[in-house]
Amino acid sequence: MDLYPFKSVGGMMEPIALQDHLVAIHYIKSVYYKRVTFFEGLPPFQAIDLGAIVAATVSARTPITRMDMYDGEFGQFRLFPLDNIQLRVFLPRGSAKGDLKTIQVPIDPAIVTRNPDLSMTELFVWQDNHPAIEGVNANALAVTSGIVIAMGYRYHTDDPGDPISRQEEQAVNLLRSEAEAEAVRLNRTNQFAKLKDDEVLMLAIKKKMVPCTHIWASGMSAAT
Amino acid sequence: MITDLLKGRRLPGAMVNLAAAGAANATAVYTQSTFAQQLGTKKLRLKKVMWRANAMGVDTWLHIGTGVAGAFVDLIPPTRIFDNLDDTLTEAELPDVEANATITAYPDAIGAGSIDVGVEVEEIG
Repeated sequence: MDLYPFKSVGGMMEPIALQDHLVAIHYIKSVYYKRVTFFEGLPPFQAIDLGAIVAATVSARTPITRMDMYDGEFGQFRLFPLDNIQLRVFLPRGSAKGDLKTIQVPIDPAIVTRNPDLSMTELFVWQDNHPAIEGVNANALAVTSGIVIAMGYRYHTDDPGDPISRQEEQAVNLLRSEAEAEAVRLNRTNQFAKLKDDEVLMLAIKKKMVPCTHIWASGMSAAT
Repeated sequence: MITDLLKGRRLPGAMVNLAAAGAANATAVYTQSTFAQQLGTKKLRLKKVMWRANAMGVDTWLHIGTGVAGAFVDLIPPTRIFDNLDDTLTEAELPDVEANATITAYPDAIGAGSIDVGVEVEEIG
C-alpha cells in the first residue's frame, strides 16, 4: 500500500492508513500493533493559543492538550503558526522534534509558502501523549497571540485480530505449513498448532509478510 | 504544484516619529531580528511606505535606507515631503530592493515639527 508519513500529492494531505489497514505505532520504546477500524478527517482548527509573547522572547513550553486522542486512537497532524512566531515542537514534552546536532529546526510562519501542504510538519499523537510547543517571537514587536492551526486525521484502532484479507490468510497458512514441515523434518511437536490465528498473524506482521505501516508517535531526540 | 520559494510574509513595522534631521538621527522603521533563538536571518523587502508631516514649517526630503550616520545607505531615492501633508508609496512605485539589515529613515530637515513614518515589508527567509 502506497501510504507513508509526510506523503504529499498535489498539495494535499493523505491519510497514512485506511480502514482495515495494519499499523505499528511506535511510542518511545513501545510498539503497538493495531488495525484501523475507522478514520475521519480533522479540518483545520486552533490547536492552541500560546497567548501574547513580548519582543525577542520564547514562550513557555506548553502542552497541546487539544491534540489528545481517545484510548486506542492515534492522530495524524500537520500544523503551522498563524502568528509571526517560530514553533519548536516537542513530542513528548521532553523530546525535541526536528533536532539536529547543533540546532532544533523550528516551524517558521513562512512554511505556508515554502511547503504549502505542510508535509514537513507532520506528527503523530498516540492516545493522550500530546506534543508540547514553544513559540519564538524574534521580532522587535510583541505578538498579541500565538495561535497554532492544526489539521489532519483521527484513527480509531483495535487489535489486529484474525486475518481478514486474502493476503493475511495466505501469510498465516504459509507460516503454519512451514512450521508443520519443520516439525515433521525434526520429528518434534508443531508449536504453531497451539497458536490461534491472531497470534500467527502477529508473527506474520513482524516478519513483514503482510503490509503494515510504521508510525512514530514520539520524537527520537537524544537530548531531552 | 509550483511554489515561490522567495515569497515572504507581509508585516507592518511600528509607526515611528522622526523628530530630528540628518543621517546621524536615522531611526529604525523596521527592525531586522537578531534574536539568537530565531533560526535564520530574514531579509526585508520594502513594500509600502506611509508618512505624514506634522507642522514642520519646511518641505524636506525623506531618506529610507539602512545604517545610521556615516554608514547610512539609501535603499530608494529620497522622497519629497510637503509640510502638513501625508502620502504613500506602494508596491507598484517601489523598486524591488532588499535589505539585510534594519531599515532606517531620516529627514534632511525637520523645522519645528516631526514626521510620522510607517513601512510595510516582506520578510524573506
